[in-house]
Amino acid sequence: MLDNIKTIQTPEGVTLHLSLAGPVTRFIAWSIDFGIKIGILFSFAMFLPLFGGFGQGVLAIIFFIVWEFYGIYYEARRGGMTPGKKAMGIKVVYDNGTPVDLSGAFARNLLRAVDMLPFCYSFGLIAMLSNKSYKRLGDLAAGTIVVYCQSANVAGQIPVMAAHAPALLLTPDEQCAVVDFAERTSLLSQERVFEIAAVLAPVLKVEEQQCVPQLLGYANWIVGKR
Amino acid sequence: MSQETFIQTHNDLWNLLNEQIRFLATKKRNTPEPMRLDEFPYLFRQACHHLALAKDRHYSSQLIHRLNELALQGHAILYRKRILWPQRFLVFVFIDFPSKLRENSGMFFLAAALLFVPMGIMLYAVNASPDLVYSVLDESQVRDFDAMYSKESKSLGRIRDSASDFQMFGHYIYNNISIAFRVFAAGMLLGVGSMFFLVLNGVVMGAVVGFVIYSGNQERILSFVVGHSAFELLAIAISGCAGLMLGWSIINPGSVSRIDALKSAANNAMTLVYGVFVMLLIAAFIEAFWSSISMQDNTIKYIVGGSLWLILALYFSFSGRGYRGYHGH
Repeated sequence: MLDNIKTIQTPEGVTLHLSLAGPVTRFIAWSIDFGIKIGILFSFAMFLPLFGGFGQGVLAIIFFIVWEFYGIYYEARRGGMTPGKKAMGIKVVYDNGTPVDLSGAFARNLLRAVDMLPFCYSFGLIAMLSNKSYKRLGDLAAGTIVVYCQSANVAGQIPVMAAHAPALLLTPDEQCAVVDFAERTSLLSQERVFEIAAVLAPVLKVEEQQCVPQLLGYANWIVGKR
Repeated sequence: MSQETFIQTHNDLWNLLNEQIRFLATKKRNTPEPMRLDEFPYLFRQACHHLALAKDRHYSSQLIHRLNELALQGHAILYRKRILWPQRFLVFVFIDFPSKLRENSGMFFLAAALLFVPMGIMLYAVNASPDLVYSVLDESQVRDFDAMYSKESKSLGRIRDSASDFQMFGHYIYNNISIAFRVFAAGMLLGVGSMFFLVLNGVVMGAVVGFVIYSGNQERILSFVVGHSAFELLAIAISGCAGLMLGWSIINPGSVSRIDALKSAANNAMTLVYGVFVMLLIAAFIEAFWSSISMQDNTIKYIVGGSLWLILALYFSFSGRGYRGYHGH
């Protein structure tokens, strides 16, 4: 199926779903981080040279630390999120869902040097588009993936309505469809909800205006709010 | 069982688990612990079971989503790693790092050859025919090197006499460690990148030393480099070795898939990269604060430099032999 869901088999015998983050979101997060790094280095470069040779030395060391270790520190010690990633709501985890630690963060950040070749992360982008989990070369070597912290929830609460049993026999898939429809009513416009429900008017054997309440009633019944 | 009954029966368990997860995830703990720690895996397994049931019984997406998020958070908490850093560091220095290098001694000797052989050839060649130095360096760089080691310069190895020791320390940190990281990362390009950088570094260094020897300043340059040469040259060779390991795993994955071979090689290579980082810190320290000291009699510098080579050779050959490292192998 064409989606960005990665499934993980856990030792508990259940399948968990993670939403993978695509190249665009990651690039925006990287740009934010880049801006922050430049900002930090710029502010140090403003006053450190005033301290002569010693200041230059300290500046070079700070430059090195910030440039190389910004990503590693945040990804290893702050739940896989650099400030840029946090802003975009994504984080780095190992591909079995466990949080990333120092060796993973180190590997994937050092290998950025290769992902950035020949210009502007081209190798990284090609790698991301070539495998199922959007992994760039650093991710492939470190065994990490970048996922959304909260996967998108397209379901709301089912509107409360007097439950009554469906007049016709519904298969489990059809029951799921009715419940899913009921959960999405809060997220769709009223006209759209009406339009979708009206399609079933001949099957439900009611007037078009009655379709939505009918279906909501069925949904409440199926879910068990009787 | 209907979904509503299912939720009513288990809601308390899910909320309790959620609280426990929040408690374990934060470092600041103001509230008491919601449950005993040994109850956590049991409740987590139950929640996973409920998720599987919910999917099987085709319960609504909202419930499945809620349970999925709960299980993901519990999974992250249960399977995370906690490391005791001081102990870990000592085990790394004395066991993991040298053992890992010995395991990959073949690659290491290849990397060392790619570094030292071109260096030796270029050194000899430039000494014999000094114009060859311009094939790897441009005029201004050659002038700089000449000035650094000439009899007129007041301090050894400095481009500007007034550059302080600490400034050079910062420069060496920034310059040398970045180079070593690139040498390693370039190994992803099927190892060819690392080979290229090793040969390049070897050739440039050989050319510089050869040229300075030809100019008659061999005493000055050799007494300068001998101190930190052990740490720096070995570190570059090891980082090349790490890069070659990466490249080789892609070319010859053996009996596992290429991706798995790469992951495993990257894991091993990272041990070496950490060690390279520490070695280059030491080398920068020596280069900035010791090597540039001008002495009347350079014998002590040669003794110190030679001893460091010997110590490192013994360290890599013997340290940690017969011990199990951090991961037990």
